[in-house]
Amino acid sequence: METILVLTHADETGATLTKASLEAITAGQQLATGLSAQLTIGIVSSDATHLSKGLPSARLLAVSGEAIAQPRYATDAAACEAICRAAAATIVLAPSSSRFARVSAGVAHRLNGSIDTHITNLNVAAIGDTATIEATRWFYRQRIEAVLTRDARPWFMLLDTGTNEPFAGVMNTTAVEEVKVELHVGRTTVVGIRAPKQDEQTI
Amino acid sequence: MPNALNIVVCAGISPDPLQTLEPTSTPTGPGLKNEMVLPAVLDPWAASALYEAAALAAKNPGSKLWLVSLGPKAKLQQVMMTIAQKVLFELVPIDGPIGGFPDAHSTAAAIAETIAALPGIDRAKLLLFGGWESATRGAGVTLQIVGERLGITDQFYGVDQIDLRDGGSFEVLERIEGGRHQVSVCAGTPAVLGWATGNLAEPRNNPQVGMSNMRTIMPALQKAKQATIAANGLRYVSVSLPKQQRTTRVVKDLTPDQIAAELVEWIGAE
Repeated sequence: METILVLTHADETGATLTKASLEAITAGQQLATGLSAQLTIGIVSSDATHLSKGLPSARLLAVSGEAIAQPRYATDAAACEAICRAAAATIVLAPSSSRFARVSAGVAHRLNGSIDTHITNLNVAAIGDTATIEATRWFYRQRIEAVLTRDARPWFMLLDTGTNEPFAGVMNTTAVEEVKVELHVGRTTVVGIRAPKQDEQTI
Repeated sequence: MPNALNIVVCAGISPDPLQTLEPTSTPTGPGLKNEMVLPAVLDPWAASALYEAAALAAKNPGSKLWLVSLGPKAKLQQVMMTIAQKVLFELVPIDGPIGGFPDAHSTAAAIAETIAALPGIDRAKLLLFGGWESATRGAGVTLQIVGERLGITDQFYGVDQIDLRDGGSFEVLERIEGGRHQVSVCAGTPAVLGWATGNLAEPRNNPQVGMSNMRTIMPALQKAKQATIAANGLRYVSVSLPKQQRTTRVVKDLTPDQIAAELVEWIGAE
């Protein structure tokens, strides 16, 4: 039986989950229903206590702390790895955000799993008595479409944004379980965000 | 030479973007029709990484640049005829399958094993470059796994700029959502940088650079080790071209305002 984990993260303000994260939750719920599987939601945020409000009823795991306020490989990978191990997930869904795209393959490798990215659709197909997950993604820069499946677990799938409705449902009353992990800030410091000027000529 | 770097660029080959692609079945899984005769190019984002690496190596005397590329030897040789004229590098070819359908994990394992065995490489000075995604699989995972396998935990993706500072630290600009860049400072090598387009133009062909490179490229191609890329449990249910969607309606005698109003209504509905 599959255990589904949806990895989410807060936006830059830290006040809410990103829209892409909420879309991944929708996909996770649908997949959990299709497979009659248990759903766990993992939250990576400097403070996850207030982020659980508005999430569906599911086991909630979080890694919090000042060290993951900044998106960076070393800390984000350690946080995601700790949540995946705590959830003992066989299927891990996450949004294709710059934050998770940076670390998910590394985390999948640490867990001896597999990963596919830019998933645009998930489908549960029945082969005999077994339910199989089929993922759709593009190859050759949107020129060839493939449907694939994997036997290896855990199987990480990064979902493209805009492919699911953002979750908006019943209020959750489950308490968030804090996953203890030692986060080493390491050698990388995020010093800021650089945005192009509004009137900048790009051509 | 405080900033002498060991730069390894991982770059695959992809079909020329102007070619028509048609999926087909092969004994080893899906592939492209006439894949071996399609003109190939160095993967575009990985090519940006190569040009940035060459510029960085030129600015830091004592640096060394390797180009690690996995593909069929014959295709690699064809692509090298052009790329070898651009910048100076040492080719490390791995004889393996072409295209985006082989498993990324097995591909990463073969590349990491080759990099770890490079003679003379100083892993403490290593900058591992590549494209943040390929033009074939387009997954953006191979370089990350290679980095993990080499034990590098400072990784950056969608990189458009690197500024090396005195003392060995460097500033990196990574693409994030909203057309913005995240600015990070890393204390030093080793690090993995998956490049987007960068800031450099494609260097002009230089026949002298080409001749110099080809002296080492041809023997390297002859000695290329063969890599077996296992499927790793990956199975393709279907591989197809996207279906064309066209709903054409012939309408006469509509005013420009009516056409505009209908377009606005249609866009609003989308």
